[in-house]
Amino acid sequence: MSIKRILCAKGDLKTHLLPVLNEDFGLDAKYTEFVYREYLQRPRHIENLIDTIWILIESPYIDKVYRDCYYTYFSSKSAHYKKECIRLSFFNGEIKAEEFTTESNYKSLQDRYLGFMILRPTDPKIIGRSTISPKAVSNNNFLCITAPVQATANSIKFSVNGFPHSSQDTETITCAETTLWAIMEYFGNKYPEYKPVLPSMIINGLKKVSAERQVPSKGLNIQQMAFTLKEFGFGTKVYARDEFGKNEFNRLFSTYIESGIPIIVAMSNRHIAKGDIAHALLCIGHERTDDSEIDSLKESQDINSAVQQQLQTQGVTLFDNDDLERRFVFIDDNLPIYQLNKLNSPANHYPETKWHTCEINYFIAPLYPKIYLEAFEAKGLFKRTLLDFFTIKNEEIFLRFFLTSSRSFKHNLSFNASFDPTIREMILETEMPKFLWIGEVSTKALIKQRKANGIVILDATEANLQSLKALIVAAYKGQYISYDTNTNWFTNNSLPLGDFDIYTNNLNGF
Amino acid sequence: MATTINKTKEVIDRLKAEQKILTLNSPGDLAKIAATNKHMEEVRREFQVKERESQMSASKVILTA
Repeated sequence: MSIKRILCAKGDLKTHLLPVLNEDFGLDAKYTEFVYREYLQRPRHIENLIDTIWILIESPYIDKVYRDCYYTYFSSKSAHYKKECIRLSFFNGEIKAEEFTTESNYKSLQDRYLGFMILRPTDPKIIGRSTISPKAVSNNNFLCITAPVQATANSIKFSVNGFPHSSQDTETITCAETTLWAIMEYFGNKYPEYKPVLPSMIINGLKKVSAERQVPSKGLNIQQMAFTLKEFGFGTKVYARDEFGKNEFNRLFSTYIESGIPIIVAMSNRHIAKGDIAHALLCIGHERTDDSEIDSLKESQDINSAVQQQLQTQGVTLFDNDDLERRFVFIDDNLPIYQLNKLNSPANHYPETKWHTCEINYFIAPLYPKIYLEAFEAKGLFKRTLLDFFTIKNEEIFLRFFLTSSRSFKHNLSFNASFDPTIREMILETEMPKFLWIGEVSTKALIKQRKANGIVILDATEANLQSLKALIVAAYKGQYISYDTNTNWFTNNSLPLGDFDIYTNNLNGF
Repeated sequence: MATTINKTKEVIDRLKAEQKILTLNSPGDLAKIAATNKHMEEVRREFQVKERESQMSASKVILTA
C-alpha cells in the first residue's frame, strides 16, 4: 500500500483532508465533515496556528501511542477499528515536494519544521499525539519548557522543540492518563534519566493499587497519579489549596513554574454548586512579564506571622515574584495546545459556561527523587536567612525564588558578565549538589531591568533545616556568607556584589 | 605549563590580611541561628500537617473530564 502525501497551505487543509479522513478512516462523508468541524475546526486546533503554515498530510501512518491503545483495547472489541492514523506535519512557509529530495534544502526545511499532529481513527475524538513548536502558535508571547521530539515527514528526519499534547479518546485514556503520558513524553525526550511511556504502561503501573479494571478508563484519583509518577522515578509532592490556603498555594504553584518544572493540575467545580467537573491538565510556563504587572504588584503578606512581624518591625516592604498576576501556559487535552489563563480562572476558554466556575484545587510537582527540600520549606528558609543575616531596614525588596540544576546555574553564571567577577569565581569554585534553590533579591526598579543585587543559594538535597545546613552561599549588601571548610563554620566576608542579570535559564526569559 | 586555578583562596587570604572576614560564631550570631532553627522547626511542622492533609484529601478526588 502506498502512502498518500499532500502538501497544502493552512487555508486549504479542509479541502484536502476531508477526502483522506473519509476514505482512510472509513467514515460517512457528512459525518466526516461533522467530525472535522466539531473536533478539529471549532476548538481551533489548526486555526490557532500562524497563517503562514503549510501542511504535509500523510496517510497511512503508524503511530506508537495509538497502536498501543489499539492492541491493548480497541482490537478486543467486536466493532472494527482501523489500525492506521493520518499525520499532519507543519512547516513555516510554502514547501514544495522537490525540496524533500534535495540535500541542500534539508537545513532550510528543518529550520521551518514546526511539528506534527496525529489524527487517529477514534472518531469523533480524532486528535492524537502531537508536538507543535510554540513558534507555530499565533499568540506566542509566553515562556514555557519544551523538549526536543524526533519525527519524520515525507521520509526525512526532523526534530521539533515543543511540549507533547494529545486529546483523550475517553476509553483507554482520559484526562488523567493523557496528562501522565504527556509529562513522561516530555521528561523522556529531554532527560536520559527518564523514558517516554505508552498508555498500557500507565495502566499496568496502576494494577497493584487498583481494585477495579482500568479499561475502559473511568479516570484516576490524584493519589493514583502521584503513585504512577513515583513508579516512573519521580519524588512527587501533592499540594492542596484548602490546606495551604489560596495565596500560599498560588505562590507554590508559581515557584515550581518559575523553576521550569511541569506540574499536574487538578481543577474542579464540584465544590461550587456541586458541579460534575474534575479535570487534569498540565501547566508548563507563563506569559512574559510586563513592567505594568510589576508596577501594580501589591505588597506581599507572609502567611507566617513571625516573618510578617519581622517585616513590619524592620520596615521592609516585600514584593514577591510569585504574587504577580500572570497568565500561565496550560496543556489541556480538551483544548488546542498552549492555552493561556490566570490561576483564578483556569477554564475561561471553555465554550461551556459550567466550566468557568472551575478552580484549581490541587497540583502535583514531579521532582527529581533526590530533591529532599521542597518549595514551602525552602522558601521559608530563604526569607528567614535573608531577614536574619543581612541588615534590611526601611526599604523595599523584590524576591524571586526557583529551583535549578547546579550544572545549568554554573554554566549560566560562567558567562554572566554582569556578575561581580570575584564573587562569580568563588561561587563557581564552590562544591554544589545536583539541584539548588536560588533566591534572587531585587527591587521593583531593578527587576524591570531584569537585574538583582542579592542572591541566596540553598542545597535542594538537604532536608535538615537546622543551623543553616542547607545554606551554600548568600551575597547581599556587601556581605558574602559561605561555609569555611577550615573552621567548619560560616564566615561573613566583606565583598560587594553589585547588580547582576537575573537567571532566566529555566524558562528562557522572565 | 599547568595552571592551578583557585581564586577563592587568593580572595580569602587577602580578606584575612585586611581583617574583612568574620566567623559567624559570636553570641549574637549563634542567637540568630537559634532563632532561625526554632522558626524552621515551626515551618516544618506546619508543612508536614499540610502535606499529609493534602495527600489524604487528594485520594478522594477522581479526575475524569
